Amino acid sequence: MASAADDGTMSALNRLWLVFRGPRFVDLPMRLLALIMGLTVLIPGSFEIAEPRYMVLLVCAYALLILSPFFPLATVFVSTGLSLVFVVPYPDLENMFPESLIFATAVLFSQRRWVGSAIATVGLLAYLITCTELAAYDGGIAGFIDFGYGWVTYSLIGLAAGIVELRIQREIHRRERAAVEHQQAVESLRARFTSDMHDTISNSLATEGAIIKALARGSRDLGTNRQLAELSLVNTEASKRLRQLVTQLSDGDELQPRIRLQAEAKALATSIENGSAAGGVALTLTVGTLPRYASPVLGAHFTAIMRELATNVIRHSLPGTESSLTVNVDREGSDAAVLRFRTENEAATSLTRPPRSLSRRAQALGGSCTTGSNPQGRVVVEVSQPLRFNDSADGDEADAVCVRDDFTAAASSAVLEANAERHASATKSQRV
Amino acid sequence: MSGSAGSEIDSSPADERIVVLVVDDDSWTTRAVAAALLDDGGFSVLEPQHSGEDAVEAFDRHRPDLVLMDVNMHPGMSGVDAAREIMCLDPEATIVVLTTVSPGPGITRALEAGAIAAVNKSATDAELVRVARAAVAGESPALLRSLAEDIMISGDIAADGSRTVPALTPSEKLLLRQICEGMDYSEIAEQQVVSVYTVKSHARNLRIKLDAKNLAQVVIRAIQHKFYVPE
Repeated sequence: MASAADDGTMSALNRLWLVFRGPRFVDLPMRLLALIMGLTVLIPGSFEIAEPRYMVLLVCAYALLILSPFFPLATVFVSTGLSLVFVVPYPDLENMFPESLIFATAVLFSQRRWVGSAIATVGLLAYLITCTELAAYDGGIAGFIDFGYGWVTYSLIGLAAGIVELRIQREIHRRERAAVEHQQAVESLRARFTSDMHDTISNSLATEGAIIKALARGSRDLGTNRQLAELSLVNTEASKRLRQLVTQLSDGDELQPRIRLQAEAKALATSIENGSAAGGVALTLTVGTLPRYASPVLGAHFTAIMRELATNVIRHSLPGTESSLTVNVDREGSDAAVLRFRTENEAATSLTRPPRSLSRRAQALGGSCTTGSNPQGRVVVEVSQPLRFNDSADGDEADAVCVRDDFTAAASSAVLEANAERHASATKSQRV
Repeated sequence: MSGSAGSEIDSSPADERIVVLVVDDDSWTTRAVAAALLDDGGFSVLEPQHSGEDAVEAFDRHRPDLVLMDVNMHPGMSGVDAAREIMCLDPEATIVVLTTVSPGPGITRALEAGAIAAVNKSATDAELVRVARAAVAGESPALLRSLAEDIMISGDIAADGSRTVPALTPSEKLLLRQICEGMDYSEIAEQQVVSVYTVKSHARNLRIKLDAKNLAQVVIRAIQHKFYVPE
């Protein structure tokens, strides 16, 4: 409650300040000047006589002076009328209404309101002529000279304020335009740089790919061919990643809440097949019907498992033999499934245990990694990863997500295990 | 590096093999592409060219069945301009653009100049051969499988201000989508339960409606007028 009241009070104060400050830069000094001039009514001796009607009119004149920067044209009309009302009963007393009239004229000049300024000038002339007719204090040549000088001075000050305001506004607009143009130039430069950069990088990757193909064609060394196949895999993965990044740039969103698993799996399979083929390794990838959408985390694990399986096949398969990598999904009800990866290849020796990093990742995800042989004696490595399905926020097809993801923790424990093994072997060699 | 693509370059006009001209400023790329085509046995590859000017001259001299053209070849004439000049020499010329994994803005201009498809220069040998054969056999949406995505990535899809957006019927929009997805005529016919001849006839009408000279330009128009957005 108190804070709400404070907010309300502050808001009212802010509003009051904004009203007083005015929309223009020159409004505040003019309004402050008018306020100071208006407050001189409080100085002792301001009232020449003690008559109530006179005092009321004088206070009104000073009040009009304070209000003139806020409502200049209204002040012109009111002060012109009241100046004539004042001069009739008090022709020999100082009339403050023309002062507010002149100040309002200056404000109108500062606002470049020429018609209003002309009306105010006519009003002042009307008052001076009336004073002259009535032989009042402000009449005659002296009055014309006195008020004429005041009118010229205040009008020039008002004009100067108007010119200053105009210059300030023009400078603001100029700087805003320059900032917008600069921003556009920077964006254009960035877009051109990005376009040139990805064009250059993609051409370089294409050249690398061509060199790998040429070397693989000319090479008869089995070890070299495997290395070329791995290099080709890296090249195609970099190409695929570049394409993804450029696509994200084109789409304008950097972080997507979901990925298109089926589409990306097919693209990944193609890039792995291309990479392997370029290195002379015949690896056939088959992607079954996968969930259409998945979380980015699942997508990252999927890519890592596929790449690792492919790399293992490239490294350990017998040259000149066919290898395969398949991936599909076994549904287990409406909201659960298991992602199954399977590689088959001929190898010089059978695998006694599954690849360590693959096994660790699979277990961290709540799945398993097993190795064995099929009846033809080919090495088989299978990775399974359980999935579940989360409803998407927009009511679209459900996203597949990992059931568990302790991979970060698993990665840390792998580091500790490796350190422990190194320490144990170091201790052993010291004893020897 | 420069050099010929390999030892088996045969430009004999009497040969039944498909005669291909490969143009790219990178000699490794021309070597790799030429080697892929030569290994297939069904192609005869001319001396690779490394500039737009040389490409136009070689085309005029040999009139190959197919030109595989890179887009950007610095310095000198670009692949876009070379494609344009080749189409002036022979409006029936078959040109396929060689692109990279993330194509730059030139791909759209090359297609507007008359190229009928684009293929990734890093594609597998099998894919290069498939595209080359399909291009020579005649236009087919199967040539356009990843073209829509390539065009979006290139970012060069601004429509010409003079073109108005034509009104398409729902069946035309469906056919347009299927073409942009790279479905073959037979696949489209099977899905729509019509004959291949009917599909080709509708595709021809669509081309006229979209002011496109070939199916590749149909894909461009589809993207320009936002009839199709690749996922």
